[in-house]
Amino acid sequence: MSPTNQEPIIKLSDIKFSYSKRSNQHLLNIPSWQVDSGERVLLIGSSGSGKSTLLNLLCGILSPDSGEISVAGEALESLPTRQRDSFRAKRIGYVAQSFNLIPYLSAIDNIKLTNYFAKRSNKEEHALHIEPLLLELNIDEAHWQKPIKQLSIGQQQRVAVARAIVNKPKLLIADEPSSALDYENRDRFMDVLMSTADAHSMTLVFVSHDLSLQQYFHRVESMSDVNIQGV
Amino acid sequence: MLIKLATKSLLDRKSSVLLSCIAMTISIFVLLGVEHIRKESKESFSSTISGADLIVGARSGQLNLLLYSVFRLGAPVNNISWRSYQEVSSNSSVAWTIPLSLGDSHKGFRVLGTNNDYFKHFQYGKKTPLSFEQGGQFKETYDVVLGSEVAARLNYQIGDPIVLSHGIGETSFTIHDKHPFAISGLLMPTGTPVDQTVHVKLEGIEAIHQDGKASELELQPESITAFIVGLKSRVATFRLQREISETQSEPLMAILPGVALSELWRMLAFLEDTLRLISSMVFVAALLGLAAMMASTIRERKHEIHLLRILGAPPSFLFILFQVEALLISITSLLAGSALLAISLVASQKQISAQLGLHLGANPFSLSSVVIGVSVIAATMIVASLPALQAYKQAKTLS
Ligand SMILES: Nc1ncnc2c1ncn2[C@@H]1O[C@H](COP(=O)(O)OP(=O)(O)O)[C@@H](O)[C@H]1O
Ligand SMILES: [Mg+2]
Repeated sequence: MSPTNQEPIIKLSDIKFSYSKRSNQHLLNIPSWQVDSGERVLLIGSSGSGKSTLLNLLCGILSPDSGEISVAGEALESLPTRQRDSFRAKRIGYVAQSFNLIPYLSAIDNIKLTNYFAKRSNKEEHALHIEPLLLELNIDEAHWQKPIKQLSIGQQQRVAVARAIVNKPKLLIADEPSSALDYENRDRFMDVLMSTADAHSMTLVFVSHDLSLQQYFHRVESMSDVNIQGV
Repeated sequence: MLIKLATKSLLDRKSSVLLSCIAMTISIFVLLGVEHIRKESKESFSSTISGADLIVGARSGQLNLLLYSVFRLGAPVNNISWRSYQEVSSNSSVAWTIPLSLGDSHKGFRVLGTNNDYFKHFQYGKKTPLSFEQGGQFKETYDVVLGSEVAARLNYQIGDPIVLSHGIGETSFTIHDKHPFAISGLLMPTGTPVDQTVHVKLEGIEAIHQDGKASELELQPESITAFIVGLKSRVATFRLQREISETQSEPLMAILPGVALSELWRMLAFLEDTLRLISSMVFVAALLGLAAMMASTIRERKHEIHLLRILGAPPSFLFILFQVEALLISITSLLAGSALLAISLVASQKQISAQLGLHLGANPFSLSSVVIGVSVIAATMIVASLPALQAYKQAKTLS
């Protein structure tokens, strides 16, 4: 498998970002970085190196102080905030460290919530049907209506993946989703994630501090190469 | 989806939400209760007597005379002579009069000496005359007519003998059981002090006081406590009032029940305002508690807020979510507070009506309670906008 040669799905240029608008020391300073469509990229960086911050920028939750971010052909800074929020809902699937599921909602409701923000009903063909998706990811029907917090870690992982891809995003982003897992669970989770990304031909950007995951990816990048910190 | 999310999120934090709900419920209960009792007691007072143009008694304060003669409350006033009563009754502008003789009691209920004009002319509420549930007005000297509450509580039937005593204590020192009083009529409930009254003929009162030694002829009363006057034409009210107060033979006073009542309202206005202020402050304190509870959860909900953002929620969604959560708590408390009030009113109605002569309706829903409900919701939205704004900011900057 090799990345298809098209317009890059992620393109960053001259990105500067800091949380504190007063200091002129930037947490992120990325002259140029891109990810091609269909690529699977592992971004390695130590804790506190700005990985999550970068992902929040890619999602359009945070905006850079300067520079341009284009995702799936959309220049994020040119989108009004409202549209940026619904763009994220429709085009980006996100799996995070704690799988980012609302703990008091059921699997079905967590997924419906994603549809809700994408302003689509799950009957529409753009979105995947929830039930087949849950079955595809081996989630037992008995667990569909239970609050997430009552599910096992393994079940939560799979619901998180289902939730991330229900809107058929072009881009799947994962923020250290495996770091809380033991090896057995980690491998099973990586398998599910990779096969799902392949089955739905999604681009995957995966951040972690765990270099041992590199076997799953086409490309491995180090945060320190991408981000030139400085004034 | 929004409501579902808000509901499940609240249920996920049951204990702190429940505490806020309880505090809000109690404060709304107090708020609605104060308003309800204020309104109902006014209404109850105003509907105790209607259709009467003047009340005449010995000169004292107009409120004292009104409270004592009509509401059976407060300190006794001096008696007036039978001759004065007859003089006013025979005045050409007077349509009817009702003599009232108070001061005695029966098992804790007031005894009122009067005559059959009472059943003919006395009106309460919206000019409703008294009506009999059983039996009828006085026929014999020793006939007794009972208010509904007296009959119900003492379990009296028509024809039962009854012992009347001198004085108003529950148990009197001089109990005269020689008088063969008997029950001739039971009145329908009125929701006024009439329900707590034992009605006896004026001659019967005399008989009690004269220890049964007098003959029937000597039972003509020498004095009464007060009397109610109905005029042929309202126009004569002030003229007659002046004439009565200028009576030379004894110090008399004639009052207009409506005017005396409005004096009472004026005196109570300060108390009313104080109660309202206190109940509003209790509510505001509960509301601030709610806002503080919500603000303190923002820290622990950081993760949830971030997730909702990732899913595509705009920051304004978080503002609305927090508002909806506060409103759900507030509406739940509003319903619980009203239910609690209705239940406690039903439970205490009898007690209040027996002890204070106030008839409080059990239905707490009225225009003013709707106004309070709307204000509660509006106040909630205003106060909850503080934590909601914090949630909005948290969603926007993730910090
Ligand atoms: N919301 C925030 N406000 C201010 N500083 C933040 C915020 N989030 C993260 N930081 C800081 O930015 C740096 C990078 O954080 P993060 O992107 O979470 O790193 P990583 O995901 O690589 O561990 C850290 O020093 C962290 O303390
Ligand atoms: Mg991180």
